[in-house]
Amino acid sequence: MTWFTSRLWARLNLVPRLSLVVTLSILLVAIGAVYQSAQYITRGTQNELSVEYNKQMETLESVVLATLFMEEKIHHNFDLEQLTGVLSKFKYGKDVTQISFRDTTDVAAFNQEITIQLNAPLFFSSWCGLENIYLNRPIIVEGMYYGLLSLSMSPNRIINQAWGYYLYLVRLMFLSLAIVLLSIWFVLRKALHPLLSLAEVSKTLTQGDLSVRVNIAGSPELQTVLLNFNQMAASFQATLAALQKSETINRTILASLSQKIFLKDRNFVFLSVNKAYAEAHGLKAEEFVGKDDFAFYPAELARQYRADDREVMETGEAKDIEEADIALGKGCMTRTIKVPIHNEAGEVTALLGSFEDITERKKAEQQLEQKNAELERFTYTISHDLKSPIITIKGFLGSLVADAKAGNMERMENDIKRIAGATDKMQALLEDVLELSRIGRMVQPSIEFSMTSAAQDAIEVLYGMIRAKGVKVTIEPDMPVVFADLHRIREVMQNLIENAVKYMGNQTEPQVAVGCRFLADGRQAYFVKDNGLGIDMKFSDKIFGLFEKLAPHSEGTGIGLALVKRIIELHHGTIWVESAGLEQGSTFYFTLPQQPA
Amino acid sequence: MKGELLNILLVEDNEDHAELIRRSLEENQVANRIYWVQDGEEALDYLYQRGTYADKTKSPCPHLILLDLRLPKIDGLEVLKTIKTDEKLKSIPVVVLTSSESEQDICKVYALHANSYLVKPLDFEKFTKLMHDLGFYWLGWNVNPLK
Repeated sequence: MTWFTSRLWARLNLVPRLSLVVTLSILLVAIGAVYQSAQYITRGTQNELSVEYNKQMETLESVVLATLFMEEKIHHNFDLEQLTGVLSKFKYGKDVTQISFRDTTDVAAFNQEITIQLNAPLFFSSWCGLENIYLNRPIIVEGMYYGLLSLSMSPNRIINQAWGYYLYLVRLMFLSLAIVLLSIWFVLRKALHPLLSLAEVSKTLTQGDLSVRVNIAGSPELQTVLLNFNQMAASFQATLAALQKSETINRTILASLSQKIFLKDRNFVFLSVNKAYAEAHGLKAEEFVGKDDFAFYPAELARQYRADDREVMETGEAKDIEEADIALGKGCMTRTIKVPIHNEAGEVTALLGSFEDITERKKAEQQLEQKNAELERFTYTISHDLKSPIITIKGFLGSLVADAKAGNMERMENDIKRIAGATDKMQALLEDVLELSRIGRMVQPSIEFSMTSAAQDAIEVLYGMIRAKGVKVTIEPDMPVVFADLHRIREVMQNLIENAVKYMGNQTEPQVAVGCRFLADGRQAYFVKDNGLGIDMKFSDKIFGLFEKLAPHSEGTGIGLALVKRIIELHHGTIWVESAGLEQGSTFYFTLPQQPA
Repeated sequence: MKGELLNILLVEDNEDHAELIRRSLEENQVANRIYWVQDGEEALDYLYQRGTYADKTKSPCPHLILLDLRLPKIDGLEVLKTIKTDEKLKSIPVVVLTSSESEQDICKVYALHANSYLVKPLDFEKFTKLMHDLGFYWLGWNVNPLK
């Protein structure tokens, strides 16, 4: 039985299996039949033979007696020759192999032997268990013994006959075996053919071609199986097509996102990254799969990323990180969001991260913040500084009324002067505010011009003032050509030179120099240098504030430097002042980044 | 009210405003003397008796400081901060008198331990009234630590 579970059996196909079983069964039946037929012969044959041959012996005895002793004359005269003649002429049964007669002297007076060949194999005859039968009969007449008559018989003929039947039976069996095997072969082969094509089709399916179908054939139950199989394949095909469609959509979305997206497993290994992520690293998306951060970033950075990842996976909470990006090496700002992905049991199985370059946004935010602060300062200054003259005007109007009542003409005159002064101040302030708001809103197209000519233009405007104060102004002759708003830059030069001339103090040899030089960082800076009052450096920022004046009694509203700063900043430049201190003169520097022509 | 002269340090860059304040305070019944400085630096020079303010008799320690916020050179908040963090000066009452109504200024001023915050009224009547009340309260009712 163990053979049937062996590997050899398991490897056999259905047809050889059936054939083997049928063949073995028929062989067993054949062997059984041999034994059965041998047994059948054994039972009874021996007895029948004995009975038959006892009868034959009796017939032979009576024939012998009648032949020898019926006549009187030969009563005492035993004629051997006659006996031999009778015995040789007697018709014996088919199975007799030996007939003999021995006289009183025990000499074999007659002996005849007939050979019966055994055609069946020895094992068969031994299974039959038949033996030779020997019959002896003494011939005694009236008390007188004449001799011994012997008959011997063989079962060979019967065994041969049984064997013959048996062989016939076996032939029949083999014939039917052949018929059975042939029918197994033909019927099953035909029945199994659809199954083989099913195997073929399913193989093609697994190789990815979901459009193939099985031909419906064979027996009804097989047809049901094949029909179900086809339906299953169709359903797979439809599902797969839907999946592929959604996969394509998702892939397109992922690929077209500007955010850089990555997916890592629990062991921090990349499962997938989108195109933007790969391109940010100058690599292909496939190059990330199966690797971790240490393969792409410096160890310290990778450790930091790993720590963030671990935190997200352990706490199960998303993390939003804004940081200066070192990995991309551009000194830009990035925002990274790391989100844990949970399975149905609520365990964290993966981590989805996205990061984007927010440098521009951060810059814009900073700029906006700066602008807001500037605007707030502006509003504050305006409200404060415009309110002041009103307080003055109203205050002295009130005072004027009181003075008029009291008839104090001197004070009245003073009051009116103050009121007039305040209204002038207010007018000046309003004009300045308008001027300031015009800068930036009304931008004239940039043109190429030489800084030297801009400075010379400014000096022409200020000629009267310079001459009145006796200031010696020198301008560097070959300053570079710049690309900027000529009108505004001329205004800058004019303001700076005017300030330099205005705050000369008690300088007996007032001098102003305009020029340019290279700074330590390679930038080109233009300067307006004087040897006048100088500035206490603790006020170096304050002087650029709107309506800020260090000397309360000086002319003007204090808008000059605020205006200059705004113009320079609109040209993306910077402005600052340097001074060794009071009475040491001061130098105003500004830069004008080269604008694209 | 009572006898002794009270010294007021007026820190005000606007000459007209200073004149208005001076006139209003002079009309008060409270005897006082006003010392006027025009910017933050001058105010600190006065309080620390530096430079032109070295003479103690000509620039005595004030009983009250009237401080504008928007000042040339060193602004009012900076002056206030210096006063209120100086052991010798911090007990002098400082009344901020400004045209700014900005909440930010009010918060900052009180955070720096100013003693009062007053907004200059636009209206002359009110301006005079405020100055009157201010003198009445700070120079009259209020018990001054330096007196």
